[in-house]
Amino acid sequence: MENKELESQKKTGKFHFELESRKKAVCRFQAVIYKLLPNSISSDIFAMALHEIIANAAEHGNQMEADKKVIIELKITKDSLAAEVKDQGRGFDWQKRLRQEFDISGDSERGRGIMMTARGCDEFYYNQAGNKAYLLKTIDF
Amino acid sequence: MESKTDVINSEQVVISPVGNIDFSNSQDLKDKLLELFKKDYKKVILDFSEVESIDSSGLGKLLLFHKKLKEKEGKLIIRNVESDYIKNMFEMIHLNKVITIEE
Repeated sequence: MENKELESQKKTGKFHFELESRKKAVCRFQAVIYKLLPNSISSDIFAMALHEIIANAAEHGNQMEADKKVIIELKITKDSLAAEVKDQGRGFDWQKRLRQEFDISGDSERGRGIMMTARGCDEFYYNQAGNKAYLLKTIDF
Repeated sequence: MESKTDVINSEQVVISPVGNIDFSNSQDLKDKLLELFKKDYKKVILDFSEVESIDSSGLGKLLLFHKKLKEKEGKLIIRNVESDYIKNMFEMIHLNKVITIEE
Protein backbone atom coordinates (compact mmCIF):
# COMPACT_ATOMS: atom_id res chain seq x y z
CA MET A 1 0.00 0.00 0.00
CA GLU A 2 1.17 3.52 -0.80
CA ASN A 3 2.27 5.48 2.26
CA LYS A 4 -0.05 8.34 1.39
CA GLU A 5 -3.04 6.02 1.32
CA LEU A 6 -2.03 4.45 4.62
CA GLU A 7 -1.69 7.89 6.22
CA SER A 8 -5.20 8.88 5.12
CA GLN A 9 -6.61 5.60 6.47
CA LYS A 10 -4.91 6.27 9.81
CA LYS A 11 -7.13 9.31 10.26
CA THR A 12 -10.29 7.22 10.06
CA GLY A 13 -8.92 4.18 11.87
CA LYS A 14 -10.26 2.01 9.04
CA PHE A 15 -7.82 0.09 6.87
CA HIS A 16 -8.17 -2.09 3.80
CA PHE A 17 -5.46 -4.51 2.68
CA GLU A 18 -5.18 -7.12 -0.04
CA LEU A 19 -2.42 -9.67 0.31
CA GLU A 20 -1.06 -12.22 -2.12
CA SER A 21 -1.17 -15.76 -0.79
CA ARG A 22 2.57 -16.02 -0.31
CA LYS A 23 4.26 -16.97 2.95
CA LYS A 24 6.64 -14.02 2.89
CA ALA A 25 3.88 -11.50 2.15
CA VAL A 26 1.83 -12.84 5.06
CA CYS A 27 4.76 -12.76 7.46
CA ARG A 28 5.88 -9.26 6.40
CA PHE A 29 2.34 -8.01 6.91
CA GLN A 30 2.58 -8.82 10.61
CA ALA A 31 5.09 -5.97 11.02
CA VAL A 32 2.75 -3.55 9.18
CA ILE A 33 -0.12 -4.39 11.54
CA TYR A 34 2.09 -4.23 14.60
CA LYS A 35 3.09 -0.64 13.77
CA LEU A 36 -0.53 0.47 13.39
CA LEU A 37 -1.79 -0.88 16.70
CA PRO A 38 -1.56 1.04 19.98
CA ASN A 39 1.07 -0.14 22.42
CA SER A 40 -0.70 -2.61 24.72
CA ILE A 41 -0.74 -6.28 25.65
CA SER A 42 -4.15 -6.53 23.94
CA SER A 43 -2.55 -5.31 20.71
CA ASP A 44 0.19 -7.93 20.88
CA ILE A 45 -2.36 -10.68 21.31
CA PHE A 46 -4.63 -9.27 18.59
CA ALA A 47 -1.66 -9.00 16.18
CA MET A 48 -0.75 -12.60 16.90
CA ALA A 49 -4.36 -13.78 16.37
CA LEU A 50 -4.73 -11.81 13.16
CA HIS A 51 -1.50 -13.27 11.79
CA GLU A 52 -2.74 -16.80 12.53
CA ILE A 53 -6.04 -16.22 10.74
CA ILE A 54 -4.37 -14.58 7.72
CA ALA A 55 -1.86 -17.45 7.51
CA ASN A 56 -4.74 -19.96 7.61
CA ALA A 57 -6.62 -18.01 4.93
CA ALA A 58 -3.59 -18.03 2.60
CA GLU A 59 -2.59 -21.61 3.27
CA HIS A 60 -5.82 -23.56 3.79
CA GLY A 61 -8.30 -21.18 2.14
CA ASN A 62 -6.36 -20.00 -0.90
CA GLN A 63 -4.09 -23.08 -0.98
CA MET A 64 -1.07 -20.75 -1.37
CA GLU A 65 -2.15 -19.85 -4.91
CA ALA A 66 -0.41 -16.48 -5.18
CA ASP A 67 -3.04 -14.88 -7.43
CA LYS A 68 -5.74 -15.54 -4.86
CA LYS A 69 -5.98 -12.71 -2.37
CA VAL A 70 -6.53 -12.47 1.35
CA ILE A 71 -8.62 -9.36 1.96
CA ILE A 72 -8.37 -7.68 5.34
CA GLU A 73 -10.52 -4.92 6.81
CA LEU A 74 -9.12 -3.52 10.03
CA LYS A 75 -10.79 -1.08 12.39
CA ILE A 76 -8.93 0.54 15.25
CA THR A 77 -10.81 2.62 17.84
CA LYS A 78 -9.66 3.83 21.23
CA ASP A 79 -11.47 0.91 22.91
CA SER A 80 -11.21 -1.96 20.50
CA LEU A 81 -9.46 -3.69 17.60
CA ALA A 82 -11.54 -5.44 14.98
CA ALA A 83 -10.73 -7.26 11.75
CA GLU A 84 -12.44 -9.13 8.98
CA VAL A 85 -10.32 -11.62 7.00
CA LYS A 86 -11.69 -13.03 3.77
CA ASP A 87 -10.13 -15.63 1.49
CA GLN A 88 -11.11 -17.01 -1.90
CA GLY A 89 -11.33 -20.62 -0.84
CA ARG A 90 -14.28 -22.90 -0.20
CA GLY A 91 -14.26 -22.48 3.57
CA PHE A 92 -14.15 -25.15 6.28
CA ASP A 93 -16.12 -26.47 9.23
CA TRP A 94 -14.84 -23.87 11.69
CA GLN A 95 -17.37 -24.70 14.41
CA LYS A 96 -16.09 -28.26 14.56
CA ARG A 97 -12.53 -26.95 14.92
CA LEU A 98 -13.50 -24.58 17.69
CA ARG A 99 -15.26 -27.32 19.63
CA GLN A 100 -11.96 -29.12 20.02
CA GLU A 101 -10.51 -28.65 23.45
CA PHE A 102 -7.63 -26.22 23.78
CA ASP A 103 -4.64 -28.49 24.25
CA ILE A 104 -1.36 -26.83 23.47
CA SER A 105 0.68 -29.99 24.01
CA GLY A 106 -1.30 -32.11 21.54
CA ASP A 107 0.54 -34.37 19.11
CA SER A 108 -0.08 -32.40 15.96
CA GLU A 109 2.58 -30.05 14.66
CA ARG A 110 -0.18 -27.83 13.27
CA GLY A 111 -3.65 -26.61 14.13
CA ARG A 112 -3.04 -24.43 17.17
CA GLY A 113 -3.61 -21.09 15.43
CA ILE A 114 -7.40 -21.17 15.54
CA MET A 115 -7.49 -22.27 19.15
CA MET A 116 -4.99 -19.57 20.11
CA THR A 117 -7.10 -16.96 18.32
CA ALA A 118 -10.24 -18.12 20.11
CA ARG A 119 -8.44 -17.84 23.42
CA GLY A 120 -6.89 -14.44 22.66
CA CYS A 121 -9.90 -12.58 21.19
CA ASP A 122 -13.11 -11.42 22.85
CA GLU A 123 -15.10 -12.36 19.76
CA PHE A 124 -14.04 -14.74 17.00
CA TYR A 125 -16.25 -16.43 14.45
CA TYR A 126 -16.55 -17.15 10.71
CA ASN A 127 -19.35 -16.75 8.21
CA GLN A 128 -21.36 -19.88 7.53
CA ALA A 129 -19.14 -21.01 4.65
CA GLY A 130 -15.96 -20.57 6.71
CA ASN A 131 -14.07 -18.27 4.37
CA LYS A 132 -14.54 -14.98 6.17
CA ALA A 133 -13.40 -14.53 9.76
CA TYR A 134 -14.31 -11.82 12.28
CA LEU A 135 -12.05 -10.95 15.19
CA LEU A 136 -12.62 -8.45 17.97
CA LYS A 137 -10.50 -7.56 20.95
CA THR A 138 -11.17 -4.94 23.58
CA ILE A 139 -8.13 -2.83 24.39
CA ASP A 140 -7.10 -3.30 27.97
CA PHE A 141 -4.10 -1.14 28.78
CA MET B 1 16.16 -18.35 9.44
CA GLU B 2 19.50 -17.50 10.95
CA SER B 3 20.62 -19.29 14.12
CA LYS B 4 23.78 -19.93 16.10
CA THR B 5 24.66 -23.30 17.62
CA ASP B 6 26.97 -23.64 20.64
CA VAL B 7 27.90 -27.14 21.70
CA ILE B 8 28.47 -27.23 25.48
CA ASN B 9 29.44 -30.93 25.64
CA SER B 10 28.27 -34.25 24.18
CA GLU B 11 25.04 -33.99 26.17
CA GLN B 12 24.12 -30.31 25.84
CA VAL B 13 23.73 -27.80 23.07
CA VAL B 14 22.45 -24.22 22.87
CA ILE B 15 20.69 -22.90 19.76
CA SER B 16 20.08 -19.18 19.38
CA PRO B 17 17.63 -18.32 16.58
CA VAL B 18 17.52 -14.73 15.35
CA GLY B 19 14.48 -12.65 14.30
CA ASN B 20 11.01 -14.03 13.66
CA ILE B 21 10.08 -17.69 13.73
CA ASP B 22 7.01 -17.92 11.54
CA PHE B 23 5.40 -20.02 8.88
CA SER B 24 7.79 -18.69 6.21
CA ASN B 25 10.85 -20.15 7.96
CA SER B 26 9.81 -22.53 10.75
CA GLN B 27 10.79 -25.49 8.58
CA ASP B 28 14.44 -24.32 8.85
CA LEU B 29 14.18 -24.51 12.62
CA LYS B 30 12.61 -27.95 12.41
CA ASP B 31 15.47 -29.19 10.21
CA LYS B 32 18.01 -27.73 12.64
CA LEU B 33 16.34 -29.36 15.63
CA LEU B 34 16.08 -32.73 13.88
CA GLU B 35 19.77 -32.57 13.04
CA LEU B 36 20.52 -32.11 16.76
CA PHE B 37 18.07 -34.85 17.65
CA LYS B 38 20.02 -37.30 15.50
CA LYS B 39 23.21 -36.34 17.35
CA ASP B 40 21.62 -37.54 20.60
CA TYR B 41 21.92 -34.42 22.70
CA LYS B 42 19.97 -34.92 25.91
CA LYS B 43 19.55 -31.29 26.80
CA VAL B 44 18.73 -28.76 24.11
CA ILE B 45 18.56 -25.12 25.19
CA LEU B 46 16.86 -22.59 22.95
CA ASP B 47 18.17 -19.13 23.67
CA PHE B 48 15.39 -16.70 22.73
CA SER B 49 17.29 -13.49 23.49
CA GLU B 50 17.34 -12.51 19.80
CA VAL B 51 13.93 -13.89 18.82
CA GLU B 52 11.38 -11.15 18.15
CA SER B 53 8.26 -13.17 17.46
CA ILE B 54 7.00 -16.71 16.99
CA ASP B 55 3.71 -17.98 15.56
CA SER B 56 1.75 -21.23 15.90
CA SER B 57 3.77 -22.76 13.09
CA GLY B 58 7.03 -22.17 14.98
CA LEU B 59 5.44 -23.25 18.22
CA GLY B 60 4.30 -26.50 16.61
CA LYS B 61 7.89 -27.31 15.70
CA LEU B 62 9.07 -26.67 19.28
CA LEU B 63 6.31 -28.83 20.76
CA LEU B 64 7.01 -31.66 18.34
CA PHE B 65 10.72 -31.54 19.17
CA HIS B 66 9.99 -31.34 22.90
CA LYS B 67 7.91 -34.51 22.60
CA LYS B 68 10.55 -36.38 20.61
CA LEU B 69 13.29 -35.41 23.10
CA LYS B 70 11.15 -36.39 26.07
CA GLU B 71 10.55 -39.82 24.56
CA LYS B 72 14.26 -40.53 24.83
CA GLU B 73 14.63 -38.94 28.28
CA GLY B 74 15.91 -35.66 26.91
CA LYS B 75 14.80 -32.14 27.71
CA LEU B 76 14.08 -28.94 25.82
CA ILE B 77 14.53 -25.65 27.66
CA ILE B 78 13.63 -22.17 26.45
CA ARG B 79 15.80 -19.47 27.98
CA ASN B 80 16.13 -15.67 27.92
CA VAL B 81 12.81 -14.64 26.40
CA GLU B 82 13.26 -10.89 25.92
CA SER B 83 10.36 -9.99 23.62
CA ASP B 84 7.17 -8.87 25.39
CA TYR B 85 5.22 -10.15 22.42
CA ILE B 86 6.54 -13.67 22.99
CA LYS B 87 6.14 -13.44 26.78
CA ASN B 88 2.47 -12.51 26.34
CA MET B 89 1.90 -15.35 23.91
CA PHE B 90 3.59 -17.98 26.08
CA GLU B 91 1.62 -16.78 29.07
CA MET B 92 -1.68 -16.87 27.18
CA ILE B 93 -1.22 -20.48 26.12
CA HIS B 94 0.46 -21.57 29.39
CA LEU B 95 3.45 -22.93 27.52
CA ASN B 96 5.39 -23.16 30.79
CA LYS B 97 3.17 -26.09 31.79
CA VAL B 98 4.57 -28.07 28.88
CA ILE B 99 8.08 -26.75 28.19
CA THR B 100 10.53 -25.49 30.81
CA ILE B 101 11.00 -21.74 30.41
CA GLU B 102 13.93 -20.25 32.30
CA GLU B 103 14.62 -16.58 32.97
